[in-house]
Amino acid sequence: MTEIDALKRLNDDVPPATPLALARARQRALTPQPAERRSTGRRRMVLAGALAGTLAVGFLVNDVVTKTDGTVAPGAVADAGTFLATAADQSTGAPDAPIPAGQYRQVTQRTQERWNFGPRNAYHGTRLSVTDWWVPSTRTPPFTAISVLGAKQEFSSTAAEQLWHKIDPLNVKPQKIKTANACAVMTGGGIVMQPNGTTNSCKGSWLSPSTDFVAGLPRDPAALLAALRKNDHTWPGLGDAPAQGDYRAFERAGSILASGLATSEQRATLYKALRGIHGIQLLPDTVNLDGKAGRAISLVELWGIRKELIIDSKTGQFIGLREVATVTAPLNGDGDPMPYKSGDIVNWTSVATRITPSHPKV
Amino acid sequence: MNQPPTASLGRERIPEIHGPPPISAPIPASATAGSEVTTWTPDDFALLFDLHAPAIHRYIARRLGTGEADDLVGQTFLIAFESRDRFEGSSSGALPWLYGIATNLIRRRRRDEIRQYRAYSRSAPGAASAGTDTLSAEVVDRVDAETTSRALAGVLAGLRQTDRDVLLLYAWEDLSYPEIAAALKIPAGTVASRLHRARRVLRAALGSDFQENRS
Repeated sequence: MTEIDALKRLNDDVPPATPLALARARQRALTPQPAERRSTGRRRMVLAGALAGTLAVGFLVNDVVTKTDGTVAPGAVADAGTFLATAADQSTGAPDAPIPAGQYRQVTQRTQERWNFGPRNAYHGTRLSVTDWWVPSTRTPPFTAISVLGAKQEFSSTAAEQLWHKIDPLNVKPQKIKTANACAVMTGGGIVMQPNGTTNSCKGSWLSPSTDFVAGLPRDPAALLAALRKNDHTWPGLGDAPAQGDYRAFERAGSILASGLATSEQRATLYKALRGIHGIQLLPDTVNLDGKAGRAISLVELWGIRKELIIDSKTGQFIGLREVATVTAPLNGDGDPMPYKSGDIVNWTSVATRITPSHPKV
Repeated sequence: MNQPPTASLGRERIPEIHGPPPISAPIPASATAGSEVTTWTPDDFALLFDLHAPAIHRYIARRLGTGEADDLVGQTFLIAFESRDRFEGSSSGALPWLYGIATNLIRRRRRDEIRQYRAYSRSAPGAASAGTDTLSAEVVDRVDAETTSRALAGVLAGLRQTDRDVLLLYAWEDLSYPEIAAALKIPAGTVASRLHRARRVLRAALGSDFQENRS
């Protein structure tokens, strides 16, 4: 061992920068405040002002909207709250059409996942899953569902595709799931089925909602928010800190909304409840995976992933979800860095509903 | 109660791959080539931040602590953006230049840095945890490593600031001589002489067990 080897071990255990610290530093570096620049000379003042102006209309509005001290920029939360209140009013003002007897509400959910891999994680793949379920007019399970997992996979290059075939040959072909016994659905293509001949063995949950589960949610926004935040020691795990309750609530609200099982009244209550989550932001125009335009309410989670709930600003309909990495190598729940870079869309979902007279035979 | 069957193959089917630190899409030429730096856009600069901020943060944290790093990493990139027209370009990209800015900021707090090294060098060795075999080789190794680290911290506190900068960029950040020269805006020969001097002091403090490595 040389003295250099020994020196390398000194202070080698400093903790990595937290996503929050990096996000704040990023904001600070890219949106300097004139007050901070006053003492540093005229030229820097001009540059800082120009940079701040450029960024204000550029990429930064899509990112974490915080001031340099990490607090929320004026209006950001107010805007999100106002938008959610309006969306709630729109939902109650123009309720979903009822499902005619003998017909179905078809919910179509398309989800695209991205993952990076290969040398220096330079390759990436995207995987599309498409799930349809048909909710009968009685709104009681079982109902028919068809899910095609990996309906389409695309890779950044031929080399990437070839490598992925070697790494995970079983995860290349699509898998189709058809059932007439669905009772709960999960975001991303999962279906919970009740065994044949049973009617009460399926219990919905926050992340696999059933019609019963959604119907049983509190109708008061404050009570609903408390339920969304409550640590019931199921996934997503997290802890009891207030911020973690907010992350949990946001995740759960997205799951309920993406299931398409909430009535317009229940959606309105969810929107009102979401107003109580600290740190939510209103993003500018966003599109869901189908390209349908809306606006997103977002929350940057502890690990640096920004979750977005996309809502049609004209109707208040929930139309999709998105997850975007806000830092390079964001952490997963175990604190391990994930191989994403800032700006990567980790997950992208669209949700659409329509009334249909029938469903496919499975 | 048994869980109902789940037909999910969702995200869990995609294995999580842990590899080297991710490198994003190709860095814009303007983020690496000196001749084009004046065309840096905020997007380019944001990419530069995302690529290098974790490394710069770690470098500062090792020298000053995490709290200072949280503060100085933003300052580093702010200064970098404002002085981008003075970036002369390098085959190594912008990283050495960023290290240079960070090093200048650290110098302004050199008293804090030295105080930190001194405090560590005078700290008591960590006690073996309850129930451990205090004679185990692992424990002995750990105690030896801590003793060495404390000795090194004492040496760092006593080094000239300019020598310490060169030494730590070399040892902790694995910068080459030309990269250190570019970072600190000094000739490569000066880098070599400062590094030689600093290593000689280190070896003297650590004793004869440590080999000289001229690589």
